[in-house]
Amino acid sequence: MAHAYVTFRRRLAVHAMRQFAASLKSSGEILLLVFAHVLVGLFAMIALPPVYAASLPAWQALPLLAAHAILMTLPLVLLRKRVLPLDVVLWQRRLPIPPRIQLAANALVAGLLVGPLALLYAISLGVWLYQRPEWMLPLRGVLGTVFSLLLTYALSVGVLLLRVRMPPANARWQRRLHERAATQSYSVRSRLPRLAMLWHRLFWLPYWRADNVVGWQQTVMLAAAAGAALPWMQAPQGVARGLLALATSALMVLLTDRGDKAVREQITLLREVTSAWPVNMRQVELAARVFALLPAMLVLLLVFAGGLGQGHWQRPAGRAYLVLACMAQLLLVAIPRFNPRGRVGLVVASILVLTAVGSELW
Amino acid sequence: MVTKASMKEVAATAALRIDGLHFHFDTRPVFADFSALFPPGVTWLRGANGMGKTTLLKLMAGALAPNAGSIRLGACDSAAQPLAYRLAAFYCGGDLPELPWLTAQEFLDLHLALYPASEAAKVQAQLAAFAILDVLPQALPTLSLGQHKKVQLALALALPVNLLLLDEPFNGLDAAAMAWLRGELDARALAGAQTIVLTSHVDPQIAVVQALDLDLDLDRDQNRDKVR
Repeated sequence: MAHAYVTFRRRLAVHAMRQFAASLKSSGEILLLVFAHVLVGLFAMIALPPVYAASLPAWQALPLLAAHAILMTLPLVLLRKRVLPLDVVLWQRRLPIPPRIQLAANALVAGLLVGPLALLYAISLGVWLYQRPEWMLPLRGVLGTVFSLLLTYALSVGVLLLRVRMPPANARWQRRLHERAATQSYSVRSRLPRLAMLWHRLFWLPYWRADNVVGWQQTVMLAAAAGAALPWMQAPQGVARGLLALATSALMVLLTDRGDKAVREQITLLREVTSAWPVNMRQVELAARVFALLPAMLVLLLVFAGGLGQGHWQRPAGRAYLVLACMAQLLLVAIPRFNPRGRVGLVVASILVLTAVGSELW
Repeated sequence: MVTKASMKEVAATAALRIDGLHFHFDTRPVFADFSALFPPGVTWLRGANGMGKTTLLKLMAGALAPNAGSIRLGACDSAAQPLAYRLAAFYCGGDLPELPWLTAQEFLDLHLALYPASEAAKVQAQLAAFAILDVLPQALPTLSLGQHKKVQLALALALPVNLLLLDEPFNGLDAAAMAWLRGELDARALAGAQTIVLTSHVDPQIAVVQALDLDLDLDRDQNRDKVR
């Protein structure tokens, strides 16, 4: 019979994965509808890297297999906070859990997460063994894939063990603040107007602290969007033009969608706290909603500035792109989240329309 | 200069009256036709766990909205004039930080911005009295229970409000802080300019104007006769 802690961790992981699957349900349906063949193709290819790497000399194969295993561990790295939330990390540290049981629990959870990957590998490997291209060495291909899978599994167990043992991510910001010189007097430090101060305290700082990754996530997406928009406006040739149009449009829409989602969740979280405050929170909430538009608008400004020299905005397609891009952002922020499926539909439709119009700029 | 007449006027303004309060959570009823009067001074709200003490404080603070009934601070109705009401009230409670991403300094700055008539010097005095000036740069989740309580109490005692709602204020405090808090509450009770409602499972050892037992029986209409 499994130890109660192992059972608890298994149930927690299953619950987290169910919640994660439920949160993806709406977007998953639309993604399947639009990109089903691409996904099937990707799944069929998933064992290709280890099979191919295994056909190379050992000194080349091993680093490639290791890199592939690390890459395959990334989903678990991203999911670690779901399967082992910070509250549980802090709570279980106070419990007398033997290291052997802790290892068993992490091995089981890692197994639950790597299990579906093993199934995909098996299917993909079956496809490649059936195809059997000339360069393929079947036995080494199978062994290479198994090696990569086992390495992914071992890394996953390691990631979970680190999550259990290492200080939580928010400890960094807490330590940083703690290192500030202690003061012996109090005076109001913020010189911001009240509305700006409330926004900063309630809708800016939380995205950068306390295990919250929204700030970094938005920054990375903004950098990626700018990185796609600038070369797109330099008139690239061929496939790059279409890809950059897609990347710019998609990232612009996702920036607003993710930012707006974070703001709405924060508004809900704050409601209980702020309901007793002597302030009309609607103004602060409105300011936060408007601010969620800014990153995408910044990208659009880059596109506009880059396209000025090309004369895009004198042509109907150019003007249509600007108008539609603005409208899409406003709709994402202004429309209530009436239905998650409708929301995903709006996001996907916005990306497709903007990409289609954007591809007509040249 | 504060005259006796003006003190009485302030005191009259500070009285809190609850009439016919009904409140229920989704899962269970809490108050049915509950009425009570909280005069200026300290009211000790008592009751076993789960009897609704914190819920009542939150209702009085405006953090929760009654399903029916009225809550008035003097002439100010919590439903009709919510902002004016909340400006005159402060709820100090909870052992866990409500805004865990802030430092103590940021938390205090935020609340001083919410209450424009507040003075940083008064906060400074309270922080010094509680001996917690050194925790200002620290993130709220890194504070101990006692430190967190002290930050909240320092703010509560410094704010210019008529209604002060203290939820288990003695939890986690050291002896010196308890003595300071008792002195502050006694002084305010004597002045009678503030209505203070506190919950505590131990005798607060201060001059209370009334003790209200909150072992609520939902079939009972009035609680006034339980006021000692």
